[in-house]
Amino acid sequence: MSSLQNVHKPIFHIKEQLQELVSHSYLMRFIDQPYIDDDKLALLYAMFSESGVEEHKRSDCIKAVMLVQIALDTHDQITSNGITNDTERKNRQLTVLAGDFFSSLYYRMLSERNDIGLVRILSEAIQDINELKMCSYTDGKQDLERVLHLYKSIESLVVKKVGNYLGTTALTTFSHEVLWLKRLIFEKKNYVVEGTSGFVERIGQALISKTGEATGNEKESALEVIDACIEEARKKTGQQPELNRFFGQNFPESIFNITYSQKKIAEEG
Amino acid sequence: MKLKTIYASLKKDLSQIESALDKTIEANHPILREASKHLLKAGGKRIRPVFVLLSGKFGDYNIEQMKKVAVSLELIHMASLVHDDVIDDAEMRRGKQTIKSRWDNRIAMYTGDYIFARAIEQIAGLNKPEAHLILSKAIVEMSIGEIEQIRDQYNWNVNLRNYFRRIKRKTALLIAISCELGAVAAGTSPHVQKKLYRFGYNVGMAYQITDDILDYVGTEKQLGKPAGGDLLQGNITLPVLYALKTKRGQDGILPHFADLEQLDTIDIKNIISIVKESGGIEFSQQISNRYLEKAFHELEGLPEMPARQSLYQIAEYIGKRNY
Repeated sequence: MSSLQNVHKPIFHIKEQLQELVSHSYLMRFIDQPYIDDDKLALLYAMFSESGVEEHKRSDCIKAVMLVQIALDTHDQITSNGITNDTERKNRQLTVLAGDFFSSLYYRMLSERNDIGLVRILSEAIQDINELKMCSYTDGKQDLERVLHLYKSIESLVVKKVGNYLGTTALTTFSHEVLWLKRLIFEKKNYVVEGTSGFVERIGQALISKTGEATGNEKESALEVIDACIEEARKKTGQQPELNRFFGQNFPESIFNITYSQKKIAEEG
Repeated sequence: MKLKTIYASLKKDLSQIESALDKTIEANHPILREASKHLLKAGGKRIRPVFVLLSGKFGDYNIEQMKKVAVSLELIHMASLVHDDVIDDAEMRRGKQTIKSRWDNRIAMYTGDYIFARAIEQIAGLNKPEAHLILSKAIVEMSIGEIEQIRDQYNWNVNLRNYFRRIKRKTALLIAISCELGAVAAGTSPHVQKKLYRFGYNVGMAYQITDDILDYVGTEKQLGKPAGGDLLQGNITLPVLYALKTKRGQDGILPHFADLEQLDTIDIKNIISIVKESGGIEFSQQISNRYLEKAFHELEGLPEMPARQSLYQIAEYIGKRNY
């Protein structure tokens, strides 16, 4: 990671450019500003830097990957709930179109760079992620391992696929775990604050199908499962101390700091 | 002349493309696979692959190269239809239930994204950087066009220029680049590529105007959906734009536009009658014919060969089709 000095400025710059790309004036009147995951951005920056992609190409490649992720996340907001008014109708219509628009931008960006290799990788990632989402969405009762596997895979598939393509093995494994950890913490927080989480419910259902009967304590048990997964993911990220230290020190506000500080506390006793 | 007859010379290659389409969307997940093939099985004119193949005949025609372009463009078209049905909350397409209706919106979104990704993967196999530039720019423009179509819904103040730009992005652009990319994949000269692009653009414009006319004059059976559907969805097309320039149109139609979103089937029937009486259909037909003339003119500058004759016949068919 020694090659990654002064990472904040370029990452901030990429984020600004991304924000500008996805801020279509009419779309923004009806849909929320797309969420840009800073942690994914930082991981991708590290991957492209480590693999030796020249600086002038790096920024466009990272933006393209992020656009794919943003497009997929945007389409995840589409539900089948009934529409009750015109604003809701417009919101749904434009959410579909926004996802399509972001997706078209990634292809144009890489075509302009003639990086068709990355186009191919990203199109494979989109196919794979939709296969997994279909499993998660339609495959009825699933056992706990399967539920956790699907959620974990979906969370980091795009980043992981790019990491494999670039050959950044350690970073790819680290990303897979750290993004999973982030999701687990988010879902737990969400459940505690909002009192609801689709993820917690899915785990609860999986626990019922395991025992065959509902005990009424499934949500508590689901939270225990999440805690165990958090612990496991922390351990796995801790197995890469150099990456842990680097991200923890450079991104103190992000998920990396959670993994890093835990490690630090443990080391310092 | 029927399309089938025009397609006869391409029968073998089209059948290869049909198999490739089927194979390309062979997803692992059974529902994703079924949903992806659902629209494919409903058929369609396969106009875009036909334009790719015929345009390729002007250069070094290699079916393997043509296939990558043709399959990709048809899948891009299909993916957009799957998402359009979520946007329009449509129940039926090509006489069959839409994916969002047969399953639900979420599955339609996953399926559309999956098909689109397959399409890009296909064209990624073509080693022609300029092809990717042409296609990617067109896809961005088509996306912006769709967003602007939503913006202009129920806005009867749209002008003709706005309408033409909308139909270019909605239909003509993909047909234009089908011709252009067929020529690019076959390594023709830039001059031929340009001419074929312009041919496709003009045919595409005529095609969409004809579609817009049919929405007023077609029967539910011919259209596969009730007549006047465009207006019900708030899309102001050429026949009604023309009618609004006449006194009859202004007196008869404008009052309905005070609350366009509340239009019912009786209002629609009234508006259809007024559009017909005002000459909106004849005017639109004239404009469509003008685009066709321009398309024919582009063909005149191309080398004389059977493919040129077929392109001429398809353009003519589009101008005269009644469903």
